[in-house]
Amino acid sequence: MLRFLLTRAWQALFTLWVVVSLVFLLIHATGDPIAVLAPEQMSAHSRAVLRAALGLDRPLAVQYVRYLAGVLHGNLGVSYYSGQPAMRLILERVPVTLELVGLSIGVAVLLGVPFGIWAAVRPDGVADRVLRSLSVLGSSVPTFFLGILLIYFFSVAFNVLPASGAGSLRHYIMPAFTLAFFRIALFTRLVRSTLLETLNQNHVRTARAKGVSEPVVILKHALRTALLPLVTVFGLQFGQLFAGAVITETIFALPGMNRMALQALYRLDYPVILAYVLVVAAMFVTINFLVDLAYGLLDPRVRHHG
Amino acid sequence: MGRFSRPPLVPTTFLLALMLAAIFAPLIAPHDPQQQNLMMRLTPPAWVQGGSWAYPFGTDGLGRDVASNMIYGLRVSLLAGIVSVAISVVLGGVTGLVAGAAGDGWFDAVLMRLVDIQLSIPVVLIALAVLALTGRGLGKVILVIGLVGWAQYARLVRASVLAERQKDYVLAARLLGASRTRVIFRHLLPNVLGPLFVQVSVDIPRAVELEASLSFLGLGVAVTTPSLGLRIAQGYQYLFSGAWWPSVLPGLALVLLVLCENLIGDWVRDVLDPHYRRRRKSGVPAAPAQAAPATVERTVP
Repeated sequence: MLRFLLTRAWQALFTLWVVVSLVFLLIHATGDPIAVLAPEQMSAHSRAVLRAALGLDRPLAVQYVRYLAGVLHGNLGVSYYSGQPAMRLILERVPVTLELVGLSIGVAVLLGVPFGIWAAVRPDGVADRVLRSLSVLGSSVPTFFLGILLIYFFSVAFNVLPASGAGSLRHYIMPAFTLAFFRIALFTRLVRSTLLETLNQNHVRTARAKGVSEPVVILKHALRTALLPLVTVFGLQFGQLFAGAVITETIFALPGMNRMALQALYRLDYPVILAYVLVVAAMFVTINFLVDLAYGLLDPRVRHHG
Repeated sequence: MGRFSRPPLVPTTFLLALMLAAIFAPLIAPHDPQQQNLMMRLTPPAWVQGGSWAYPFGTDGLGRDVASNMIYGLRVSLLAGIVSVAISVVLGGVTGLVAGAAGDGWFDAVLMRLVDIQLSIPVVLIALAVLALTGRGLGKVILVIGLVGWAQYARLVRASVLAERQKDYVLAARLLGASRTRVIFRHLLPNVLGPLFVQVSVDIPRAVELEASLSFLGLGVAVTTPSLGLRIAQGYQYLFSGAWWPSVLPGLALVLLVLCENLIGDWVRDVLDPHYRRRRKSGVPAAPAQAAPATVERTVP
């Protein structure tokens, strides 16, 4: 187990290093931050002073080492736009995003798993057919368009839910559902297909043969095996959720870190973009690590293997 | 073809109709999509009170014809979907083919690690960052979507090549004196086309959605390009005053396009992927597109 942990930690660090370096390269390959930063009428001399003040006159290698040191200290400089520390700007917005992402995962699991079980109990039954059609639809409606439809119906036409802001839980209902929608369909299909497969397996047949009741067979014997792929997809979906959250936060004007990062992108506010990339990368790596651990807990077969 | 399930008739018909509309957009569109008529701004669709048949789907906030923008928007969507996936296929396919044919070695190891990293970062985020730094434009959007899609193909082709090269027919070809290049292109390539085609059918609708999403966020096509995503974003601001048509109607066109492509994609997978075909026979339908590579990806940590 220790070896497994160490390998994983090493891989995680490597991934983080690659991401951080890629961002550095990307920023330096695509343009001169000074060109973005400095007002057009700024004199050449002032530009040089600004360049020196930000350390942008040093050789690229020196800048890279400084940048890495800054990353290790969690110090990414201040936002070009507001002058506040970039890392703090992003971290302040993390709770809103986590609430949104957490709620949508909750909605997706709480609806998707029972739907999947329901569909699998009677394959090709009415529930199965309806859910299958809905899930095709679910994977065909873009997140931003679903958000717009919801806003039109619930905020404009019937005026029952707020269209923007993050004051109360009610503000999160539409964003969380928008973000969860595709995942409900995904989890339904996934649970259905894996459950149907497990129901044919020996251990399930044995359970049935020894007289275990059908609900217990499904919930205790089959579902546990069927949940394994769900855990994997869950981990992969976490990244997708953040990407989806960019759009959701924009449509519903939720003050989360993704919306912050998008605004930073519009303004080419490099320190904030960097801080965002770092925070997201760190979250990815942590989640993937937890998913691997969960895998070991759920499936004894993969435990203790590096 | 007899033993395969029949192609889905309705989605195919709709998709063909949409493609024809896109190709012959200048002939079909009632107006120039860019033409503004501020006197007629926010005219409702013809079937709503106050609408007129001169603008069958109404006009947007600048008085542009919504229907014409939808038809030209389909053009942009289809172009983005097909060209970007073609770029991914070529780029990823060649890398995967080389990695698989070369077999175990540092090149293969580094490449697969890169694939893992690329796949763990959401494509939207990469595309957003690149577009924000390099500027907007349809060509750039297509290129970026194409470039970030390489990893899936590299992995897929490499895996197929590794599986195929163990087989006797490859050994036989080698023994007959076929060169490495010949083995790759004449013997291995035809055998990886099946899974490749399945992935393409899954990726085209995703690329269409991605272009729309990027354009919706304002980092995709230039403001004058009639992209469905961009028009939805522009129409969105009038939603609160009750004008739903400039955003909802282009959105429905987008959903219809993606839905048809998804349904056809499901069928392609049923026909070409023996794994799924077997599953369907046992009453288990194809797993969702996103889940399929995912489960292959990390079964054992």
